[in-house]
Formats: sequence, structure tokens, C-alpha cells
Amino acid sequence: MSLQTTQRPSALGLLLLCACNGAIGDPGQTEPVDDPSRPTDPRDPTLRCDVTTVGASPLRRLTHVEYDNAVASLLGDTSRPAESFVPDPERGLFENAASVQTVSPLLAEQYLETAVALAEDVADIGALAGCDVSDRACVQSFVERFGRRVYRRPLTSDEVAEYVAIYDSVAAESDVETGVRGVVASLLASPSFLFRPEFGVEAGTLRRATGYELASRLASLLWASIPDDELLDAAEAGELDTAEGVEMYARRMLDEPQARPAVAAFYEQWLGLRRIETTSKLDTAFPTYDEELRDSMSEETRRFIDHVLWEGDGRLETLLTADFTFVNGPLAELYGIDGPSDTATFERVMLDPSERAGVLTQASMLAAYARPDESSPVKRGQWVRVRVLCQELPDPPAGVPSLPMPREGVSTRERFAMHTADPACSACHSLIDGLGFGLEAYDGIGRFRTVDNGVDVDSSGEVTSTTDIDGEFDGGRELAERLASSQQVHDCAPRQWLRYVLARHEESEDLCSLRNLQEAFDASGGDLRELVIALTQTDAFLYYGEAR
Amino acid sequence: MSTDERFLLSRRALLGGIGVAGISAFMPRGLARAQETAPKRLMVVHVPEGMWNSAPRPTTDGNLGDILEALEPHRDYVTVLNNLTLESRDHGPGGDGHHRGVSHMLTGTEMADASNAGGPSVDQYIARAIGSATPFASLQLAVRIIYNDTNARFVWADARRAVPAEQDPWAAYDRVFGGVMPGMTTTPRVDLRRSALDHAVREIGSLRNRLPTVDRDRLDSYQTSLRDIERRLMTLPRPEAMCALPTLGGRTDPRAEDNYPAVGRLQMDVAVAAFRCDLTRVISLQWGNSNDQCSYPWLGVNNLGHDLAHNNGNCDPDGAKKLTVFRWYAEQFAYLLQQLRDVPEGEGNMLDNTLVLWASEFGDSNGHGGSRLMWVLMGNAGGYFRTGRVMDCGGRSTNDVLTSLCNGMGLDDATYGNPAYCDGPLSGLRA
Repeated sequence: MSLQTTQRPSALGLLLLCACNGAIGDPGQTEPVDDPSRPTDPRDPTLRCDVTTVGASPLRRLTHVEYDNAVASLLGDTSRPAESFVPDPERGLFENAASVQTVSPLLAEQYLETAVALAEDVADIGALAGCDVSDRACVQSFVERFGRRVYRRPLTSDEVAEYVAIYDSVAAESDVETGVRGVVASLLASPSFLFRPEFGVEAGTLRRATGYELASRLASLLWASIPDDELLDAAEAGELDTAEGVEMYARRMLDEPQARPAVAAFYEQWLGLRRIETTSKLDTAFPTYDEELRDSMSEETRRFIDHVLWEGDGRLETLLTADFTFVNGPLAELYGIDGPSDTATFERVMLDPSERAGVLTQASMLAAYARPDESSPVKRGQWVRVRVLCQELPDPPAGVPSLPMPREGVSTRERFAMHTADPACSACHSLIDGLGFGLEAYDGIGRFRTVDNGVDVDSSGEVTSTTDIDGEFDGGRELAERLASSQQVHDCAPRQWLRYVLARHEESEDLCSLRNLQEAFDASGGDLRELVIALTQTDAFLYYGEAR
Repeated sequence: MSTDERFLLSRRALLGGIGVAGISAFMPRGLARAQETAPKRLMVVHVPEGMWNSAPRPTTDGNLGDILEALEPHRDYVTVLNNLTLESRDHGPGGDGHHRGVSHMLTGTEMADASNAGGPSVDQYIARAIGSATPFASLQLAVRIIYNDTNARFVWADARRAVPAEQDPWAAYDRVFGGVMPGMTTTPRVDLRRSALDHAVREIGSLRNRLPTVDRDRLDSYQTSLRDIERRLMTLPRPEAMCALPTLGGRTDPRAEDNYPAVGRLQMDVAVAAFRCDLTRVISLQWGNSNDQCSYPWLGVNNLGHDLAHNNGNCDPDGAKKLTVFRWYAEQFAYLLQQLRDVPEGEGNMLDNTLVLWASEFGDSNGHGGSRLMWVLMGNAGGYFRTGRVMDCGGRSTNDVLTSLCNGMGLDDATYGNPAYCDGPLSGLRA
């Protein structure tokens, strides 16, 4: 089985493991099909980047996290009401895919009711307005000032007049304070708050994102929120009209505390770390796996990423190969090392480097990408292939036969191998299992093991169908180091970031942005903090593209 | 008097002395309605994971067997549909059996892509036809959804438009019955909601035309949903409806596994009351995910439904646990049917005018297959169906059942879903 990679071998960095049968496609997606005559790989030397091209900037809706952060910032209301909103559908790796950001009847109702409830819950509406709310001039200035933050741009005079009219009519029925509450409720239910409409401004033959639009993009990327007054002032003063200005503010924003959870959210989604939160195990197989252990695993990886990004060297290689981590009592036991004895205390510890390397061999990953009663070379292999190598796999066919029942003397690896021996299965599984087999020294909750079902563990694996790291390997560390050394992997991180920032899959118009991003990432020596800054310098970030 | 006030006064008058949530109250009916004028109602219920092929099914001699024993007291209302095929499932894009099964189950057509169904589910299709008569065109309720991907979504307004469900019965209660509760009728809250709604609708109107065509659908979805709320604020429930609000009791965590049975029961209570008050005529109820993440501790099972389905780790060697779980779901339906039967309507009871569909995405749990499905139809939609039997459907397509549902609800469709997988209404089902 050879991997179909498009006509051009150099295009391998780009997805398309496609049906595993030679046909090119991307079954999970319905993005516009690129012109086949154009390069699909940003590293392709025939790709010309002397002319700026911009892909679509789809209409975005606030994610639930952004909504909560926004109302906290606007009203000081930290009740996080969106946590009880109907959850957004999951599509692809990221929670912000623009194409599925519709508003169901239930969500519309939650938006409306919450807007009203938040407006009613403002303790001192006069203080929020900052003037005498029986005075229409006061109300008008409040609408202008507060409205600018809600809309992330100045309101037009018509818009201001509409809100003042709402104040008038509600106040006429009740009282002036309720009138102001009516304004707040209407602002919070408005599509200009809930969505992020962009139009850009003419820049030659293209459209550049306006300063206000860039302020919103920065706030969404770096704070998972809306801009503050300072950032809006910068937009108003034209300070965001240049890439240099955007970079200066991006750096400033990245230093703020709210950048940490916002940036961490990308890694949690890219690496699928939240999956552990809903991972259950069979008691009979893993009696020690309980809620406490599960939460500990999740916390370990959070702390690890936070440390690498903000206290550590911030490098992708460290994320993938670090020999340290953070453990509490239950995790120290799982890893078989000395550590704190209680659950609440996490300590930085060194792990046996022959057994562990980076995020890939952390218990949260190994447990989440496993079966309820055993490991899963398939889930783990798929994880590496899709998330770290940026290659897409087709969906499994309907009616997959069950795995043979476990029995003593037959290893998990052998059973999986039997399961996928059929040529119809092995076509795809050869791309997956060779990676996953290399992680067989970790059981279904991530414990290191040398024996599986009475058989000595065989953790030899093989990397295939990559641009630069094909070959046999043995065990988690070798795999992690191989990945960390790979240009394909180093090109994947920027690609995933770009998808996250654009809230869609990349298109051919984005390839030059992607190339620049990948080159900037290389130039920084794989620095993940610089990667975020570099994102804000891409044409994809700075320009507006009308969705076709 | 504005339309709103009329609505609220009418509903308040209707509910008379109801004080606070949690106090059940009955309103006397003015005129008894004749059976033929009683509205027809539809409730579709998803129970995950199907049943092992090796478990004996009800037999055509009318024996409901072990698995449906709990429905015995209601057997006259029950039609067991054995041996159906979810034909469309093995066509078109899509993920594994769970994702495909749930997305295809009530839509009966190829998915638009791996994350989206390709057409409306039958309940939504029917709601579109009959929903304008009630404040809510339809209601979606669910119990403890863990994964919010495709395998949590069996209700679709249309291709690519999933309709998510409320998982919290207390929130569902407030939403459905909130407008009829005193204290919420004269406060500024109603005014603010109205102003905010009107403003949002106006602004969408001016914004949408400035946006690229492909972006308008998201904005439109907000507009449509707001219009739906607006219409509800102005829709009068039928004054003769015999309304009684459920008693929910103290709030607990609807996400906690231990509360699964209690939350399910409350959701059924909300559903029955919503029917009874004629606030809607179409309801869906989803028990968990297709990939069943409940371990049924109150039954002493303590293994995830999904593990039982596959007998993962030999956790259920003889299928005893799976059977226990399946029988428990049958008991939930028995409860639902009893609640419906307890409401007198015309010469009979509310179940006489209601259709309840128990659907599952799989036939054989273990293989996660789309053949040999067993669905159960309960109620007869005002005498449209001949109930009280077990049918062997001989591998007929589930789309045929969906067509029959449409017909039973008064729509004259000849097929449902992709006609390639439909031979028309299921023969032998009608009275």
C-alpha cells in the first residue's frame, strides 16, 4: 500500500492520506476544492508568493468561552453564564469552526434570556453609565462608550439613536434605570455582539482588515475575549493599521494573564487533551482509575503545557520530548516514582527518560487514546498521524468487525494485527498501526509495562509516509524524538494554528501565509510563543477575504 | 391590549392558582373535546446501542418477551417492529456506526458530510407542518450527553442544521412553562426581552445584506430562532387544554450519572405536561449518547453501555447486564405511556392521540450493524394505526416507518428520506 500524496511528492506535508486507495479527497471536510493546477504544499518551490492572496474570512460567532470572558470584561459579571448554554457542536479538532456556528432555537433563547438577566443583574446601573441616567445626554454618551466595547467599533449615529429610542420606550413604561437595562439587554442580544461581522477596507486590489477588526481578531486569539478600551483606542488612532503596530500590541497582550488560558486552549484542542475528561475505564481492567486519577492526569498535562509555554523555553521540541512533568500522589504512583503523597500537591519531577518523553507519553494522552479495557494502537496511531503530522485519514467504513476477544498469551498488539490483516483494512491501518504499536509499552491508563497479557511487550514501530522521518523505531521516546526532529511536524504546528485562527481549513490562498508562518517558526528555533506573534503578521490575519 | 398581554393573561387565567414551580395544579376544562378534534402528537425517543442479536426478540405471536416485559400493561398500544434495516446508513460520507447511525436514523438520507446529517429528521419535518399551532413548534429534551459530536445529534431541522436538546429539566421547565408563571408576567423582564428581540431582528435585517451570501445562513439561523420565540410570545395555547404543571422537586446535577434515572423521569414529566398544556405537539427525547457513556450504577451494572454493547473486556459474558439495561429502558417507556394514559382526552386518553417512537441506531449492539433493528411504536395517532402486535418487517427500510409516521400524523408523503431507500409506508401497520 503506498500513500497517495497528490502528483507532487513534495506535497506530502499536506494532509490527504485519502481513502487510502489512491483517490484524493478529504472526506471529513467540505471546504472548497482547490484548483488542482495550483500547488498544495506551502513548501513547494513553484508556489509564488510575490503577490498577496487572501482566503475567506468567514463570519464568526463568539465561542461560549469568549462570551463569558466578554461579559466579565463588560459588566464585571463573572458568573460565566455560557457554561450552561447548549454546547457548540464539535467539528474537526477545534471548537471554533465558523461553518457550524449557527444559532439553534435553544441557543437563541439562551442568548436572549441571558442578555436580559445580565442587564437586570447589574447592581448599580447608574454607576455603569457613570452619569445621571434620567438625562438623555448621559444615556447617549453611555450608548456610545459602552456600545463601542460591545460592538468592538464605534456605533453609527443611527445605531446610537436606536438604542436611545429603546431607552425612551422602556423608560416610558417603567423607569429610567430600567430603560438603561433595556439598552444593555439589547446590546448583548445584538448580532453585532454575538457575531463578529467584518468587511475590511480597500487596500489596492485586496481588502485589509480594519483597525477595529484587527483589535477583535487579536482579542479573540490572545485573550479569548473582546478588546478593551485601550486596544479600541489604538484602533481608533490608527496604530493597528500597520503590521508593526499589530505586532507591538500582540506582544503586549501576550504578556497579560488572560493570554495564558486563551493560548492553552489551542493546545488542549490541537492535542485533544480534553478527551481525558470524558474517558472512562472498565473497573475490572483498571480498578485504580477513578475520578481523582482522571482529574490528576488532566491537571498534569495542563500544568506541563503551561510551564513549557510560559516558564520554560516555549519550544515545540520540549513539548514533545521533555523528561520532566508535574505529578501529585496518585500520578507518582502511576509513574512509579517518588513524589508528593497527597492529591492536592503537584511537584515538578524528572521521569525515567527511557520510559517517557513529553506530552505523547503522559498518562492523560495514553489513557484518553486507549480502549476502556486496554491500550489502543489504532487510537494512538491516529492521534499522531492526524494531530502531529497533519495528515488526514478517511473515516472508518461502516460495519467494522469487532476486535477478537482478549485472551491470555495473546498480546494486544497481536490481536490488533489480526483484526486489520484483511487487505481492505490494512490499506489504511498500515498508516496508523505502525505508529501506535510503538506505544504498546503503556497500558490503557498510561502505566509503563514490559508484559502484556502474559507476553513480553513488543514496542517496535514504524513511521511511514512522512517527508523526513520514515523508518523503524522502538518505544515512546524514540517516536517522540523522531517527531520532534521532523520538519513535517514543525510545519504542522503552524498549520494547526492557522486553522484555529481562521476557524476553517486552509485554502490555496492561505498557502503563502502558511509558508511565511512556517519559516518564521523555523527562524525562531521552534518557539511556540513567537509562533503566536508570527500568526498576527500573516496576510491571513491582516487581510479580509470575502467568503465565496 | 397588546398581543403579548393577551397571551399572558390568557395563560395566567388558564393556570389560575398556580403559585410557584413545584406546585402541581389542575385547571378544569371548559368543554370536553371530541376525540377527532384532539390534536395528534409525536414523541421520538432515542435509546442508544440497540440490543445483542443473541437476545430473544418479541415474537409475532404477540409475546413481548423478556426484553419488553415492562410494556405488557400497555400491550394494546404497542406495535413492535422487528427486523428493520437502516438502509441509508451504509451510503455516503460519515464516521463510524455511531455517528452514521444517529445521523441517519430519522433523516433516512446520506449525510452532507462526516459532521452533518443530509436532511431533516422526521420529527422536524412533521413539526414544520403542524408546529405553528402551538407556542413551541417542537421541543428537544435529552439526558446526559457526554460527547457533543455527531453521535449526540439525531434531531436535524435540515441538512447541516442540528437541533440540540435541553439536558436540564429545570431549565426546560422554566423555558416551557416560564411564561405562564405569575411574577414573570408583569415585570420589566418581559419588556426587556421584547425590546432586545425586536432590536436584534431589525439589526440582522440590515446586517445580513451586507454580508457574503455564504455567511448569511449563520445570521439567518439566529433570525429564524428569534422569530420562533417571537411567534411563541404571540401564540395562544388552546384555551380548553387541560393543563397541569409537573412537580420537579429540588434541583440536582443533571450531569451526574447517579441522577440519570431521575433526570430522565423529569424530562418525561416536562414532555407530558407540555403536550397536555398544548404548548407543543412534537417532542424528542434522547437518552445519552449513541456511544453510551452511562454505567447504570443504580442497576448494579457498573459498566458503560458502550462496553456492554461490545462485551468489552468480557464484562458481560452472557449478556445479563445488557438485558438488565434494556429492560430498564422498557420500564421508562412504561412510565411514559402511563403518564400519557393518565390524561383523559375525549372518550379516551392522551395516548390515543399520540405516537411514541422508540428508535435505536443499531440492530445488533455488538456489530453496531444497521440491520435487524427493532423499533417500537406506541400509541395509534387517533386510531390511525392498528396496535397491539409484533410485526416482522422482513428487512424493510426504516424510511418506510418514517413515511408511516408522517402519514399517521396527517401528512400525505409517499416516501421519507432518500426515496432510494424507501418503498413507501410500511404495509400492514394501518388500522
